[in-house]
Amino acid sequence: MTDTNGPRAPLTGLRVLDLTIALAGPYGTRILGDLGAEVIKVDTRVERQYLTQLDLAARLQAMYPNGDPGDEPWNTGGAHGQLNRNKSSIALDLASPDERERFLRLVETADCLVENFTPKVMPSLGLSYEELKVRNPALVYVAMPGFGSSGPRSMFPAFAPTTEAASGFLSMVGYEDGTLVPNPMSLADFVGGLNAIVGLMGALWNTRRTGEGAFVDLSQVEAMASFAGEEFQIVPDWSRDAETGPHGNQLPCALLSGMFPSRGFDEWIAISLYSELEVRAIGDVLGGPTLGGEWAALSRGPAGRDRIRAELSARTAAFGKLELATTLQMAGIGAAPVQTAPDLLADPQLNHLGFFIDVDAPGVGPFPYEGPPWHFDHWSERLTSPAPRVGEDTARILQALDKSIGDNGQSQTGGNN
Amino acid sequence: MNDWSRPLDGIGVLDLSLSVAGGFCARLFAQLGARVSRVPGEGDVDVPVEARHGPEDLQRRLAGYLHAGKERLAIPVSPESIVGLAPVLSRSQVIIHDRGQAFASQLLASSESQEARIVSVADYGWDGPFGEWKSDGLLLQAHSGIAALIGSPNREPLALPGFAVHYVTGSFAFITAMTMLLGAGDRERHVLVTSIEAASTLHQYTYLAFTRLAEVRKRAQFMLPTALYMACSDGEILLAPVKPNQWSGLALVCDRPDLLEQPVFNTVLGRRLYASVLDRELGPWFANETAAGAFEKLCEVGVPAAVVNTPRQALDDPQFAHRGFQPGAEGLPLPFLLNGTRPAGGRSHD
Repeated sequence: MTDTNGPRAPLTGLRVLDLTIALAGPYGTRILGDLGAEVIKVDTRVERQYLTQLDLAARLQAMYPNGDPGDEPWNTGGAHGQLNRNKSSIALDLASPDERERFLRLVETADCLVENFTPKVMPSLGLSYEELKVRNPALVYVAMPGFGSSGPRSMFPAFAPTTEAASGFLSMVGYEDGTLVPNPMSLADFVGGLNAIVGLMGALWNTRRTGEGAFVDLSQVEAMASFAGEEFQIVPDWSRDAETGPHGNQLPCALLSGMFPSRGFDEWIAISLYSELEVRAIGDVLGGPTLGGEWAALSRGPAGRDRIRAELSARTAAFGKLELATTLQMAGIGAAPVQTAPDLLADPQLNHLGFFIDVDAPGVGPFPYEGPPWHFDHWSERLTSPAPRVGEDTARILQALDKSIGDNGQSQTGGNN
Repeated sequence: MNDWSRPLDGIGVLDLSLSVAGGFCARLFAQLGARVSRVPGEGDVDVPVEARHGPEDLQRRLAGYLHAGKERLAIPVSPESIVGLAPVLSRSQVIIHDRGQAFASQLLASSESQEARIVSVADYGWDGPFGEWKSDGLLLQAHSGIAALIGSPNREPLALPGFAVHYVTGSFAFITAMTMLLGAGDRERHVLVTSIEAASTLHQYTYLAFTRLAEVRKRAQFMLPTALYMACSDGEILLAPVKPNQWSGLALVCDRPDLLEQPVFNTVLGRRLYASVLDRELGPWFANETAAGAFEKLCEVGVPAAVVNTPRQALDDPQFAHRGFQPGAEGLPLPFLLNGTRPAGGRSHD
C-alpha cells in the first residue's frame, strides 16, 4: 500500500489496534485492512484459548486444510486465513505489567481500537476506554459486545444465533408453512462487524474535526434488529400485536417466487416472478405459448399459483441450474442458480469482477478467499499480505515504536519478543 | 461541546438511489447528522424498486425506514440525464446512485460535482456475463451461496427474510463513501459497490471450500453444532453453550449435575451427536420455566441464550428500553452510542 509506483490505498496512514476474536470483530477490522489501514491484530492469548476450546467444533466443521488443526490451529485455520489478511500481528500478554505498558505505548500511536469482548474484560485488564483515553485523547475506541456496554443485559454473553433470536430476526427465518429454521450462516456476526465500522467511520470524522476521541458502544443485538428495521417502522396502523412470521422463499413483493429443483442431486434454481407478464413469459420458455397463457390466467389466484409452482418444479428439474437461469434471464425473468462452494468459485460473474483473492499463506497453502465488494476507479490492490502467524510482527512493531519514541526524545522502556 | 448526536453534521449528501441498498446507505448518513437530499425516481416514487409490487403496508414501512430525515427534492431526473441537478450537485460532498455506468460518467464529468465523492451501487456490476441480470433478495442469496446453507436438509434451500442483504450492500456503500472522505491515500472520487459481491462475503464458504465440506451438499445444519432450541412454557429459547464452563453452567442451572459426569456431553461434538438425548434430559426443566425466566437464569451463569422473540416482542426487552433503542419518528435509531449519545438522525424536510 506504500508502493510509490501505484495509487495509495484510501485508508493509508490509519492505524487500528484489533483486539477482536471469533467472527464479528475480525470481519469488521478486515474491511479496514482491505481498505489499506494498518491493522495490528493484538493477540492476547484469548483467541488462542478460544480456538482451543472450540477445537472439536472446529474439527467437526473441517475448518482446516485436510481437516487437521495441527499444533497451532490459530495459525492454520481457514477462519484465520479468511479474516485476518491485510493485517499484522503482535503478541502481548496484557496481564503482564511490562507488556501492558508496551500496549499502552502502542495505543498512543493508534487512531482506532476495536474489541468485541464482554464489557468486563478490558476494564479487568486496566484497559478501559477511560484509562486509554488518558494516553490518547483522540482515540476512537469501538466496543461491540452482544448486548451493548450498558444496561441490564450488558454482561450477558452472545453468539450469532442468540443475537438473531434476541433481535427478533430469527423468528422470521423459516418456511412458508411456519416451520422455523436455525440460521447457520452467522449473519449477526457479519452485521455486527459492518455496523462497528459504520460507527467507527462516523466517529472518526468528528474526531478528525474536533480532536476529541470517542467511545463507540455498539450492541450487536441492536445491529441485527436494525437490519430488519422495516419491521419496526411505526406506521399509522402499526401494532405490537401484529407479527410477521416466516415467508419462506415467497417474497412479499413478488407474485410468485421460490426455489425449484434443477438437474442433479440437491440442485436448485431460484425464480422470482413479479407480474402476470413474467408468468406468461416463463410458461412460454418452458412449455410454449399455450402453457404461458394458461399460467398467466392461473397466476391471478393463490390456488392457481400453487399449481404453477408444482408444474414449474416438474419442468425445471430437466435443466441445469445455470443453463436455465441464463435462459430465463435472457427472456427477462429473474432467476439465479442456488450456488454451493464449488459453484461460487467458478461463477463467471464473480470471476469477471475479480472477486476472489488467491492467498498463499505459509503452512496453509494457496487457497482462494472472498474479496471485498468494492471497485475504486484508481486503487485496485486487494492483497498486501496473507494472514500473519500469531505474533509474527511483534519485534518489528515494537522496534518501530521504540524508534519513534526515541526520535521524539521520550524515554524508552524496551521491547522485545 | 462536541455534538455526538450529529457527528456528520456539515456533510451534504445527494441520494439519487432507486433501490433499497442505495437508500440504506443514504439513511446511515442521515442518521449520523449529514444533510441528505433525496431525489425520488421517475413518477415521484418513494418506494424502492424492490418493493413496488409489494403490499402497501410493507411499502410504507420500508419507504419510511429508508427515507426518514432526508430532504425530499422534487427535481425531475430522467434515467439518462443529470440535467436539472446542478444546484444540488454543487453542495454535495457525497452522491449515491444506482442508475448505471452512463449516469455515473455524467456525474463524474459534471463541473458542479467535482468536489463530490460518488458511490455507485449495482447488483451484478456494470458489465460481465451477468451484468444485465435481474435481481432481488431471493436471487442474490441464491447466487451468492447463502441460500444453499440454510434450510431443512430434506427440503428446498431457504432464503433469509426481509432486506438484510440489501442493507449489507448499503453499509459497504457507506463505508466506502466515508473512506473516500477520510482517506489520506490518493484521492478517489468514485467507487462501485456490487450486491453480488457484498452478499458473497456473508458466509464462510471460501475457507470451507478448500476442505472436505465442499463435498457436503445438504444445507449447513452441521455448522450449528452449538445451538439448541428448547421449548419453555410460553415459547422457545435458543442456547449456544460453546465453552466448557458454559456447558457446566447449563447443567447446573437445570439441576442436572449428573450430566457433567457423562463424558459424551463434555464436548461440543458430543452434545451435537446426542442432541436428542440432551433435549430429553433437559427438556423437563425448560418446560417448567418461562422463556424469559430461563434466559435470565442461563445468562447469569454465562450461558449464551436468547428468547426467540418476534421483532415487536423484542422491543419489550428491558435492554432495548434501557439503551433507548426504540422506534421513533424516523424508525429504529442506529445501533450504537457515541460517547454515550445515540445519534439523533436527520432533520425532517418533507
